[in-house]
Amino acid sequence: MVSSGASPAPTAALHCSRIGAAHRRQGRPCQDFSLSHRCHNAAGEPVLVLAVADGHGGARYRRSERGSRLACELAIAEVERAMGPRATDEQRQAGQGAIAADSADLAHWRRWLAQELPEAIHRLWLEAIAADWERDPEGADPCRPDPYSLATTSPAAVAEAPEGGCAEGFSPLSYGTTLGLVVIGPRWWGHTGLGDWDLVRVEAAGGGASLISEEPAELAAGEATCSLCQRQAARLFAPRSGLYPRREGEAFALVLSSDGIRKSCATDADFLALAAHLAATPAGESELLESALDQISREGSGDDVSVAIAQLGVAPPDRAQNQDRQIQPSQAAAAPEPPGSGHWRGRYPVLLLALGAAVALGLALPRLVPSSRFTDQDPPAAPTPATIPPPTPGPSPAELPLELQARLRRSIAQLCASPASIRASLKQRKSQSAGLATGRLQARQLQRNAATDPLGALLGTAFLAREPQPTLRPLQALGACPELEAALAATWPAGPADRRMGPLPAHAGPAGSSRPTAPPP
Amino acid sequence: MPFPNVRLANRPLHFIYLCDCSGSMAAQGKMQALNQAIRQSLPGMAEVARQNPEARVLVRAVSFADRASWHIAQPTPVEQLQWVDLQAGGVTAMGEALELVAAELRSPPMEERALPPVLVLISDGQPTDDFEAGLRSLLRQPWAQKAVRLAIAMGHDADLEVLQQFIGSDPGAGGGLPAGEVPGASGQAPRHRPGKSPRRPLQASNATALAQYIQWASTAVVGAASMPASRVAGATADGNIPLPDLPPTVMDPTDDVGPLVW
Repeated sequence: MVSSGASPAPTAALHCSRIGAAHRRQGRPCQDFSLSHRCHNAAGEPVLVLAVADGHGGARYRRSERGSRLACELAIAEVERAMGPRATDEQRQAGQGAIAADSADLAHWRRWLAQELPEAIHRLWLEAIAADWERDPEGADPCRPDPYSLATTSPAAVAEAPEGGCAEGFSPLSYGTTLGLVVIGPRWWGHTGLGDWDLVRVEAAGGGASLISEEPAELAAGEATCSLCQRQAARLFAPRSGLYPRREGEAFALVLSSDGIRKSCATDADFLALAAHLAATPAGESELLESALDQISREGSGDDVSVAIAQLGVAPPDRAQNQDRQIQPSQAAAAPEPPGSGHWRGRYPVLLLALGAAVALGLALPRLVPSSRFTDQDPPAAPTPATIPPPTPGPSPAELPLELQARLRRSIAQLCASPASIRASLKQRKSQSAGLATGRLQARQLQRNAATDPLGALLGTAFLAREPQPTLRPLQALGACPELEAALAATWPAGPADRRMGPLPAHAGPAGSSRPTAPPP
Repeated sequence: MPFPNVRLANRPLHFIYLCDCSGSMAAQGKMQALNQAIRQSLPGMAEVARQNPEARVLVRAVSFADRASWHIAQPTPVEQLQWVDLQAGGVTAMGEALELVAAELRSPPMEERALPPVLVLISDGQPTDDFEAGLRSLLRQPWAQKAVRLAIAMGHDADLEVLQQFIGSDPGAGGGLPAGEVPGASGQAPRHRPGKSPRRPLQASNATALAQYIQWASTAVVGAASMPASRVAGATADGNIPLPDLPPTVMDPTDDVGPLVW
């Protein structure tokens, strides 16, 4: 159920960057940077922003620690400017989604995360690194660099430009960095960025952990990654962008991390378990987080490690005690069945490791207090049940294999990037849709073929999501836009070939938007 | 808040030799020189591994003659490796050797978190089987695409075109840097002479040069691959990792002399 009003404010946020064991040994600086920041939208509602950046480690990226810091600072400042009360009336009237105060138009915000915000960040970052070079040039012949002319050169050409002289000495490549960004508003949360950062969602009360976003393999190979110093950087944000409505009663944490953490884990299951552990760090215990990150780097990749964490939908303990009495019968009645129910239970044992670790989060969340770094800025928390309700019904995306999740997300993002063509795309799969309805095709087989047929896997997942309780929730959680939900809902109308499945519920129906719209700010 | 029971692990670095053991390798002491060069390189490789504890250097070797087979089948920590001499005899089943390696570069058995593997192909002749099919099979594996692929030509009868195909295209050959120039990992201007590049087959015309190339691959390249620095996708001049400078003797042809000339 989507919140009809503002969801509870994020109650805790923390961030930490630690120099990697290998960097320390080699006398190199920490090239990671991270931030968490609270601000307000134009309506005065709380907004939380997380940022993590990983400056490239190669010798030619000799100012990447500056590049990563500037990326985090500028990205957060731009989010605050675009969402906040400082936006101009002209900008509001221009209909820029970035300016409207937490608009109900989720598509608008989705586009902002994928296009408008990246373009602004890239432009600001290029200007900032040029100014940094001008203030502190290398070599004896400082002159004003032109970041735009260099930014329009191919990365390879920039990389291969000869050294010496001003125009030749300055290069965005010197400041190369990744950037991961999470924006959490009252009615939605979203992510964007480029590079090899990871984003994990950890459900409260043992609900599991799932990888929300990772760098698509086709964008980078080996140790290569997408970077702000690339000419086409702004366009590289789109595959890492996603937006999700916040729902009433949801309690979960988001863990945004640099690649050094995931690469320190033996498997993805270990990574998810570790993310759940980090998510449970009490906000006032930054030393615990520092110690954990040091251990991760020391016993793992040796790389710099960064993490930014937000806990959502959980009230501080002192408030929670008072709110025990505020749980309404309607809320209790709406409490869905626990995760892992139905036919999904036990299907993917690898993720059970993460479920166990997530229990730690469930136990630790009630102990959370507002981040020590932002305590005096915390807005009042909205009323929240002290007892964390279990997640909403249907199979959770956490129960899908990671690789399948990633492929589904990419497929969904591609479809939702052009909502007008969604129905046409699905129409081309009438044979698969009919095969699923008649039992000629197995949905799980389509899921297994996700590498070669991601759209078929999406159809299979949508089909499975209708059983045993019809809902498209897994696809919503994977970023499906209302247009896609509607189109999928219309794919299998109840009929003679499909009598055992009724029509999809109204909230996922084809009436334009499957989600109740949020009220205006 | 105790640390969770998760498996933190350093990252495996798979180093695989593909050694030509055809009959021609028996001539002019080439096989003896190859065995000696690899054996002598192991202490240096072990030292590099010790200096980079975040990487777990694991060595394997394939030999190919009439057929290809694993000479060292198990990924062996370099500090535990004892080199057993290869023997020459037969033709040159290089394509089959690539097929063998391709099978091992699938995921699994390759680990999710492995570092880019290092593949070193050493040959003195021309493949006698379907090299193209073997190469296609190899390059279908994502880990092979991510790998650092080096080739050493022993003598002047080696098929340089085949070895270049194994390495992949040389980014220095067209546009950008002059032919043979690659940026060194040091960040300084590259010192390679035109025509000499680790992105091209390294031509060893005697045992000394061969030993230096093997030493370079097993120490400098392993060192670079052990602590990979993240970098920008699309910067093709780097290949999969920024390769270190070639050993000094390679840059000065006058040093390129030895007791044997192949």
